[in-house]
Order: sequence, then structure tokens, then C-alpha cells
Amino acid sequence: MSDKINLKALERKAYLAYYEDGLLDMGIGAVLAWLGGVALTELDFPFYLWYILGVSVWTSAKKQITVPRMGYVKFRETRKGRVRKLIYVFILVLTFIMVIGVLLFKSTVAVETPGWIFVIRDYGDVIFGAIFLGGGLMSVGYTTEVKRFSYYGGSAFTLHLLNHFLTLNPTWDIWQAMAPVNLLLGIVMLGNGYMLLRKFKEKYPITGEPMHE
Amino acid sequence: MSESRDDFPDVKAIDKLIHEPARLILMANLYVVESADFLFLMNQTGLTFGNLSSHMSKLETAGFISVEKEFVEKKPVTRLSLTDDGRSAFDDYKRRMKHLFSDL
Repeated sequence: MSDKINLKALERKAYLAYYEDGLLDMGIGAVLAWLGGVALTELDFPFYLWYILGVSVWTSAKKQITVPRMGYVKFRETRKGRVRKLIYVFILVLTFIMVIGVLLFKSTVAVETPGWIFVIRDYGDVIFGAIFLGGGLMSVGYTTEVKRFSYYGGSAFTLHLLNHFLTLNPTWDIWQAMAPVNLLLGIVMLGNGYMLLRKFKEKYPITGEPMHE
Repeated sequence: MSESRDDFPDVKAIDKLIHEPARLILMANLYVVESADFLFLMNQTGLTFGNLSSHMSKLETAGFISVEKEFVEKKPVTRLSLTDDGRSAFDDYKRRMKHLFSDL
């Protein structure tokens, strides 16, 4: 027991304990590995299925793995507010990406291709990979205060930037150009998440709540 | 003795129920969240089931925490939260402790 009680640190400790299970790492890692894998192998698996599967698997895993070991806690509004803001930012970014996607599709059937399409074509991996993905993961790290997500974000930013200048195949489209980094990062996150999950299970074995009188 | 006590009026006003270390940790853990169940508090405070249960009863009797017992998927779940009285008692305790040592 430490000599003084720091209430902010106590709240942070309680909050961070919920991310010790590595499930978020595994969830984001699986999506990234899928993005990379699909782009390289040209397999088809609709993104919305990942969304539906991802959310339901994550919720169920939290319920089956985390809560029986850690117990249940409801955080105060200030903490929930930060996470809510992050969700809004992600919805905004996803909407932006979808709009860009639609505009890109429209431009392929347009008579004259607008200039900005070439910027997206030439620097799409930097915009989507380094800025959106790297920045997105860093903002997850900032909002949740889970440092490893900032490291993932920093790695995504650096690797996508490097990848842009060391393009393996110049004929690849944006998604294929981003695929090696996404696949690598996804596998690292999956692996790290799995290790965290193992540690979490050892640290918090299922004991259940004893019966009260 | 009584004269020296009068030099520290805040000491007398400190809530002894909260001042006990295990209860203080329990109150502090509940202060930073909206509510938490028994298992979560056992993990966070490091208290055993018996200890936590006995301190919980004392704080509940004093009206500082509210305890709700229910069954979730046939398993017993006890949810604890600070009452308004408990929250203001903890605020008061913090203020008095700060005040007590501020001039040292």
C-alpha cells in the first residue's frame, strides 16, 4: 500500500485495469491483418461484416472473459465523456473515408478526372495509413491513456511513411501499397493482445463472487 | 490532554469510521467511480471477502454506501456505490486531513 492516496491515480488504475485483457489490441489487430491480407490476396470479405462481427465478438468476449475475472465497474461521466468524444471522432473519420471512396468511384466514371484524385492516388497510403491510422491509434492511446496504443500509432505512422518511399510494387493500388504494413502491424497487435490476455487470465483467475448471507 | 486536543480541533472532527485504513481505501475506490461490484473492489483493494464484507456492512449501516444484491446469469452480484452522504463525508474527511497538516 502506498503512503498516500492519489484519487486521480486510483481512478486511472481502475480504468486501465479494464484494458489489461488485450482484447482491444486483438480486435484492432484482427481488422488491420484482415485489411492487409485481403488487399494482398484479393479475397473478398465485406467490411460491414467485420464491424458487426467485431462489435459482437468484442462485447461477448468482455462479458465472458473480463467481467467474471475483474468484476464490473461503472465509471463517472468525465471518463465516459472522453471515450464518447473518441467514438465521435472515429465516426467522423470513417464517414470522411467513405465519402472519399464514393468520390473516387465517381471519378472513375467521370469524363474529366479532378486534380485532387491524383493526390489521393499518389499519397493515399500516407493520408490513410500514416495520418488516419497512425493518428487514430495515437488518439486511442491519448483518450484511453493506454500508452501502448500511442506506440502502435507511432509505428503505423513511421512504417506507412517509410513504406511510401520504399513501395514494393509501383503498380499496386492504395490498399495493396498499405497492405504489408497493415498486415505486419495487425499481426504484432494480435500477438501482443494474446500475450496480454494470457497474463490477464493468470493475474485474475475466475473466482466468482462468494455467496453472501 | 484535553487542552492539547483543543489545539487540534480538526482531529476531533475526523470521521473515525472513514479513517480506518481498509474502509478509507474502500471509500476512495468508490469515490472515483459511479459504482462497482464486490469482485472488482476485492481486486482493486486487495481485501479478502470477509474483510470487505464486514467493512461494507459498517459503511452501509452509516449510510455512506448503498449495496444492491442481485443475480446475473444465476451468479450473485453485489453492486456498491457511494451515497450522497458518503460522498460529502469523504469530501469533508479530505478537507479536514488537508487542513490538519497544512501548517506543519
